Amino acid sequence: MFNAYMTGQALAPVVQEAYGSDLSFYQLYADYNWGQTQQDSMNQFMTDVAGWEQVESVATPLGTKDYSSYLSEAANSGADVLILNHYGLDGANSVSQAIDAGIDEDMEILVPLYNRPMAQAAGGAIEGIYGTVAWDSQIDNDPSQQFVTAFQDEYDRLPSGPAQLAYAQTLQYAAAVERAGTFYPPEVIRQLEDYEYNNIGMGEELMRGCDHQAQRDVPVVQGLAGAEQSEGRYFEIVNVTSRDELGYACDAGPAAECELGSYE
Amino acid sequence: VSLLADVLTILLNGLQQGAIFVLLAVGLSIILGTLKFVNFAHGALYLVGTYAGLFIALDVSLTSGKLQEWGYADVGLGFGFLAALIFVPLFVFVVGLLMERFVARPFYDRPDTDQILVTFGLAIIVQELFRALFGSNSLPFEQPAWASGPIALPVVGNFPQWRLWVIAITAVLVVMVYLLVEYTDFGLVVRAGTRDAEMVRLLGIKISRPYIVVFGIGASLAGVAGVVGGPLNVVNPTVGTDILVPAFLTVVIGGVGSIAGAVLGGVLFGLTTATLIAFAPAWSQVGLYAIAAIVLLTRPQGLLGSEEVGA
Repeated sequence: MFNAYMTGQALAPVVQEAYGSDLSFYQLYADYNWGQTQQDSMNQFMTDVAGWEQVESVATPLGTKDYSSYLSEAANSGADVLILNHYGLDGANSVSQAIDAGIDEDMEILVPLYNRPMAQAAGGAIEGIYGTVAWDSQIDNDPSQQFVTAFQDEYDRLPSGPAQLAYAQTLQYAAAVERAGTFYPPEVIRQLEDYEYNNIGMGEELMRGCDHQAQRDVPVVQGLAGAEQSEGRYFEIVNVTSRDELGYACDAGPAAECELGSYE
Repeated sequence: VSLLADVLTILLNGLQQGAIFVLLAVGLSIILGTLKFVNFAHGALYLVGTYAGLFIALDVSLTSGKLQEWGYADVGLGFGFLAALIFVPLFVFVVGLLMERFVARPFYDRPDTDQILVTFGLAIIVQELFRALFGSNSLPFEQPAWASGPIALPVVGNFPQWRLWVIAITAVLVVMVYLLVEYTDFGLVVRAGTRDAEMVRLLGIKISRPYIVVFGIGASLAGVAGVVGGPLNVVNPTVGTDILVPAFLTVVIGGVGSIAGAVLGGVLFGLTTATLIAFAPAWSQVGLYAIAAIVLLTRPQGLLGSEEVGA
């Protein structure tokens, strides 16, 4: 899985091309680790890469059900773009409520990180809204399609992104344990460090040793209209941003502040 | 004009956020006030109302759960929202009657803690039963076509139309319940029973009958809350549990047994949350509990609750 930093990096050029530069944006973010990092990343890349300007970034408690008051504030901010850094159910609620409130009439909306259950729950509200996904059953390569077929045979439905992620990561871990010949975590960690693979459906991937972050491509997607959605098809993949255009050196970005500690 | 727009927006947001709490709190409060029964399964009735409303109103395709596995993924009736608004209260009324007979009644003379335990247990059972049958995946509850999307209000600007309906439906129902309790013979017996049940019995009135109806009405209100509140969020089996604590706090603030208190509590909650989100979002959640604490410290019986009469 890519991290929040790379989400912002992958999205910025795409949305700049779609909406232009010289825009202002307003952020809402779920108030926990991922949400805080995500809004930080969006602020950085929308400012540096897209040339936009942040009006305000407001924390919403994790698990908020009713975003209407937050959305009213966002609508009155005069910003051109609303970024909803909410994931899963929170995201489904916030984006649906934003559409109900007619915010899309005056502002562009971005949902930095999607997954399928969330798109399913939000329905047509995600129409035209840009975001990224970890993996989607529409991604066309051998390992992905093999997984889709096997999953369908077993469960009689299309796998979601989180299902693929859980499967792929468990497989990664199991293989690392096998290579290490032990469950002892420090040994397993060493097996994963700087490990390169290309067999879980997202092309070449690297578990970088210096900061333990996965270096991989990031699919940028746009939500489909309710009528165009069907089982397993909720997004259109607009770009798969290559990992070569993403990330940061081991002494830059978040990695500069990363100290892994010892594991003997 | 901008200040007026801000104030009106906060007012509308507060009212709509409070409305669902009001519906739940009124039901909870009359059950607690008349039957002295602490119903932690009130959220489960909301859950039942939400799912029943969803399945009556729309064609639903389940994406997980046992029903889907057994090949019954398409469960909705698609009768439309108005049908849901009519049938769900009746259905949940019956569920309420059954709950009164088989769960509440055996526990009327038991301590509060026993009532809490049995109803909380029931709430978890219902929630997990729904999870098993209809799956953990969230389902979209589309708003009725005639009330979805934004409406351009003067001064305020765009406002989600369905939320105005939530306020209106809540107001109508609360007035109906108020009239029933204050101005009918049925209400008279219920209120008398609240004051002194023994005396009412001595006067030859079989009080268990109005009581069971009270339970049904309370349940029914939770069911309606589920139907009108359902389309505000995505639907999943935890919706009932999520709403239970705010609903109880609303009752505590307003005063047990008081319909006006439940309304005041709900509106106060909604307005406080909306105001804090506008001016100090980081404090928005604290506000709810701070009000509850202040009210409990200064007026333990709640804003409009009356102090216990007799022993």
